[in-house]
Amino acid sequence: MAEETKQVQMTPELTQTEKIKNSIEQIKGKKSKFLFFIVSTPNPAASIYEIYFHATTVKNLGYDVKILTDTAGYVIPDWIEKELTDIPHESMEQAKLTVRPEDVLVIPEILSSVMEQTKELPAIRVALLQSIDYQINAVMPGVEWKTFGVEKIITTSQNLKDVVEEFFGKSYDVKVYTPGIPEYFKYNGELKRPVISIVGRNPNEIGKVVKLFYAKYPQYSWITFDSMLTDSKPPQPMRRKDYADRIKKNFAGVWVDRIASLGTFPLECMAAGTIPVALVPDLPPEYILNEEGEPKENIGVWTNDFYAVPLLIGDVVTKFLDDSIGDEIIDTMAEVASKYNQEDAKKDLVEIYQGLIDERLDIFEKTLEKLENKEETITEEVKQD
Amino acid sequence: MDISVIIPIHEWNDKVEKLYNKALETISKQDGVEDRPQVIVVYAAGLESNEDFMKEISESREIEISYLKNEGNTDFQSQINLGAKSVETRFFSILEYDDEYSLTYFKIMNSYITSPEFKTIELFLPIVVETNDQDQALKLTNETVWSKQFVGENGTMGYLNAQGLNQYTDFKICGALIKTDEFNEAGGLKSNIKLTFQYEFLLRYLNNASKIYTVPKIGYKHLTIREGSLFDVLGKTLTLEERSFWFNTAKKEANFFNDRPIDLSTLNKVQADQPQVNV
Repeated sequence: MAEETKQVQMTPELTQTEKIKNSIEQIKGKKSKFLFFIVSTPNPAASIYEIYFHATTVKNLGYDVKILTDTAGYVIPDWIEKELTDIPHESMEQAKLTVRPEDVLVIPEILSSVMEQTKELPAIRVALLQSIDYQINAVMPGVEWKTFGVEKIITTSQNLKDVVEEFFGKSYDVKVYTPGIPEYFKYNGELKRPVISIVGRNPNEIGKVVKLFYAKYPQYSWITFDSMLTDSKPPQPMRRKDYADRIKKNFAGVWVDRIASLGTFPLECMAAGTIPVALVPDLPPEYILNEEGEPKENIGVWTNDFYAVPLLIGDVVTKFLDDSIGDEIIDTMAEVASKYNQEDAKKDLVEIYQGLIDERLDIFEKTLEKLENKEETITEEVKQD
Repeated sequence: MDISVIIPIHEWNDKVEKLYNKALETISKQDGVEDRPQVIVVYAAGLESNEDFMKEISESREIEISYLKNEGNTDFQSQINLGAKSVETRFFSILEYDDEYSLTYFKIMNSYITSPEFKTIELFLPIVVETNDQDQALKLTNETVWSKQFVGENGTMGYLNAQGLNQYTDFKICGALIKTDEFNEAGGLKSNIKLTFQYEFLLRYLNNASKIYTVPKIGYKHLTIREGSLFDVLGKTLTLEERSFWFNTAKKEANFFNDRPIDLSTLNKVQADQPQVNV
C-alpha cells in the first residue's frame, strides 16, 4: 500500500519529465513550429516583405513554418517573390493549432491583440518591432507588451532598441538585426530618366510636394512624378522586382514619411543609384547619421523642413540635367546600402531564431536535470523507507 | 570616339571669329572623355580667304579639323549635307558657330550610343537651352518628349512620335547626334524647304520608322536670336500665312526622301495679298 501511495505521488513529476524530454527531442530533431502572424495591407509594405523574409529564412533552417493571417480572405501578396511566399498560410480565425513549449510565435508590433490572446500559451513568443509608431498606437496607455507576457523583441535598428529601452525599460530582451535590400535593387549603370519616384505615408502631403514643385519651377513642368504603380487601368501595386527596375531607371526618389522607423525606400533608392530627396522622419534612420550622430554627406538630400522638399527637388533636377551629380554620391550611396544586404540579414536572423530555440533547449535541459536529481532523491528516499 | 562634328560657317567677321572660337573651346574642354571628335568645318564659297584664320584658331585647340568649301548653294542645309558625306564616324553632330556644347556633352552622348539599350536609335536629341545674346537662359527645347501629357497613351517617354510632332513643332536638331548612314540614305536636310527644314527632317525620320530619343541632359546651348541670323530675319519678316505654308509644305514633303522643288505659287499669292506698307 505504501508503495502504491508513493507511486501515485510521483506520477505528475514523471509526466513533466517526460514532457520535457519530449520537448528536448522535438527541439533537437528540429520539430519546433514557427508561426508568423501577419496582417492584410492594401499596398505593398516593406514590413510585410520582411515577415516573409524571416519566415523563409527559418523555413530554410529546416523548421516547420506557417503564416497565420488576420482574416480568412487574406490574399498572398503577389508583389513579393514566389520563393518567399511559398509557405503554408492559415487564418487565425480558423486555425486549430496545437502549440507546444518548443514552438515559436512571431507577432508583429501592430498585433498587440494577438499578444494578449496568446498570453496563456506555453510557446516562445517574440514581438517583431519594425515600426515604433505601430507599437505605440497598438496598446492602451499604461499597457506594454510585458503586460501580455511578451518580453522578447526582434527589431530592425539600434534606434528602435534605444526607444524601447528609454520608454519601456531595459528588461526587454531586444535583438537587433540589419534588414537587407534585395540584390535586384543594385545599380548597374542604368541611364537615368528625368522621372522622380515619389512615395509617402500621406497622399495629401505627396500631392502638396508635387504641386509646390510645379508652382516653383514652371520650366520643369515636363518632369514626371512616378507614384510607383503599374501602368494598367486602374493602376496596381508593382511586383517588387519590377518596382526595383523602375527605381533604377528614375533619377531621384522623393520620400515623405514622418512615422517610418527604418526607411526602406531611401535605402532602395541608394542601392539603385537614385538620389533620395527626403524629409527626415521623427525617428531619423541610423544610416543617415555618422558615428558622431552628425548627418552623413553624399547620401541624397535630407531635410527637417517639409516646405524645403520641393525646393530641394528643384536643385536635384537642375543637377541631373546639368550632369553634375558627382560619382562620389553614387559611390557613397552604394556603400551605405551595401550594409543592408540580404546575406547578412539572413545570418543575423539565423543567429537570432536559432538562439531562441537554443535558449529554450538550455532551459529544458537544466529543468530536466533538476527534475531528474529530484527524482533520484525521491527514489533514494523511497528505497530508504 | 565614334562622333564627328560639323560646323557650318556662312559668314566671317570679328564677331563670328569670337563665337567660333568659343564654340571650339566647348569641344576641346570636355570632361569625362579622353579623345576629341573629328571636326569638319564647312564654309560657304567666298570665305576662302578666311580659311587661314579658322585654322589658326583651331591649331591652338588641339582638335583635328578638316575644311570643306561649299560651292554653289551655300545655305545651312547644303553645308550640313556636304559635311555629312565626309563623316567617317557612325554618328555626327551639328554645332552652329554661335552655339556651345555642355562640358559633358560627349561623355553623355557616348554613353548612349554605346549602350545596348539604345542601339536602335537613329537620332539622339539633347535638351537644348535657348539663350539670348546676353547669355540669359530663355527656355528649354526638345525636353517635351519627357512629359507624360505630350507622349500620350500610346507613346513611350523620351521618344518623339509623329502624333506629338504634328501637334508641337518646336524641336531642334542642332546638337543632336545623328547616325551618319541613316542621314545620308534619308536624303539629308532639304534646301528647298525654308524655315521648317528641321521639322520636315524629323517628320521624315518618323515616317520612315526611325527612332528619335531625347537624352535627358542639357547638352547644347543655342543662341536663339542672333541679330542678322537666318531665323532672326525670318522671324521678323514672315507672316502667319507664310509660316503656315512652310509647315504644311514640311508635312507634305516629309513623305519623300528627295529634295523636291516646292510649288511656291500659293506662297507667292499669299505674299501678293499682303497689304503693302510704305515705311
